[in-house]
Amino acid sequence: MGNTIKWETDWKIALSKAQDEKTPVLVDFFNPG
Amino acid sequence: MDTVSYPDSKVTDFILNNVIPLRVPFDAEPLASDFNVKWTPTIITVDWNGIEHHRTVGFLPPEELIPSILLGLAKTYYELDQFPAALQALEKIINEYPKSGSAPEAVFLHGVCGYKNTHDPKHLKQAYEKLIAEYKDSEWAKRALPYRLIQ
Repeated sequence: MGNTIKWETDWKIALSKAQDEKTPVLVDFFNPG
Repeated sequence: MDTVSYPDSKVTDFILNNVIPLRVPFDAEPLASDFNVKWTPTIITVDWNGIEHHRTVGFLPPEELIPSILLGLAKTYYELDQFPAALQALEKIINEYPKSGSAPEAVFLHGVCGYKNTHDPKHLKQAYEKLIAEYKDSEWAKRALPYRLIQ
């Protein structure tokens, strides 16, 4: 079985990781149904 | 996106290696209001300071999603004046996804980034020539029309 995307769910945590890694954040606003 | 694009192994590997992926419900506040989200899926590329640089609305298949994310990365680096990184992302779109919907804008932005990186206007003329040759019906070919006059 291959990789799966490990989505962050918290804006502040994602932004903190982005700042540490100097990597952009891809934010997916989705409809959970 | 959940049944087609995100499970695709190329998409998964690309996302894991190139961005911090964040998923939030469309009505999660204050983010939904801060980013003026009105429809799903809305996919936004933000930099590490939380500033938006690119967004798409609606479904994208894998062969369009990867170049769209690359365009988001390129626009992020371009707007942060990190032109070599922007050029690298744009060249990946141009060379690996030339038939994607992101390709004409990538060619245009490649010309702009090349010019801003070197101050040589030949990059703008080259972008115009490639757009006319390969994407003549795109809006980006029209936007590049003034560059035909560059000597």
